[in-house]
Amino acid sequence: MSEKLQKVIVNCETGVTEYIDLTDEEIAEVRAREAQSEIEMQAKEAELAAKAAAKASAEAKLAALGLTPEEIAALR
Amino acid sequence: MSMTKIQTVNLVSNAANIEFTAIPNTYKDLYILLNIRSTTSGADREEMRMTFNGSSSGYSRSRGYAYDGGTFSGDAATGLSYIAVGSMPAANRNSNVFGPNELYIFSYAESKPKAIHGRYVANSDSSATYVIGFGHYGWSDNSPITSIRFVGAANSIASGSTATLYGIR
Repeated sequence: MSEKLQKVIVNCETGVTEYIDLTDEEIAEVRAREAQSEIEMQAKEAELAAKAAAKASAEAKLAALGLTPEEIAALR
Repeated sequence: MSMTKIQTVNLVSNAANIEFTAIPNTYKDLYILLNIRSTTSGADREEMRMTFNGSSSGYSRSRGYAYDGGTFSGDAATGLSYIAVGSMPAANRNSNVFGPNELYIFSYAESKPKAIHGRYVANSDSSATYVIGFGHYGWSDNSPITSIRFVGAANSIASGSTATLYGIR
């Protein structure tokens, strides 16, 4: 996010909408949210990858037991 | 029941957040209609968050959502620092795709805990990256709501997004 960061304030009493540059403190909050979001995204991707691996492993074991692909699909 | 438009904003440039302030206490409930888009390019969509009166505590949720080809998920949580009210299409989506999101806030001006209903859609042009969700939310604070802020999980709200606040009597 290299552009100048602004917030938009809509005053319902006056009807005035202002675009205001973020303060250094507010920019730090945005950066912290970016970092946290990256952590959460990586955790989500790891969770999805683990689920996919477990599913593939379970299907391989079922196939080894003699189940047909149609029978495995019926269990989903 | 009658509905009155209090204020609307159509972003002419990207914004880190949108905040309605000095909300009059003369209505029974509030209705908010968002049509939004994120500046993120690192994902197909981005979470939209809402807070009241600058507070970062006391929020709760019960929600469900279908996404990415038909998967359904849902959860409930309390003690949150914000309400995740929906999702915004990302900058890499078709340029005319915005995410509609509507919220209804009950008895916002009363001195008691608040209840909110919401529903949203993002990326409705793509069965692979869409999300359609609904939620029921709470804010345990007794303060009347005088300001409402919307912010993305990490990125800005894109130019062209709109937010309109209505009062319900």
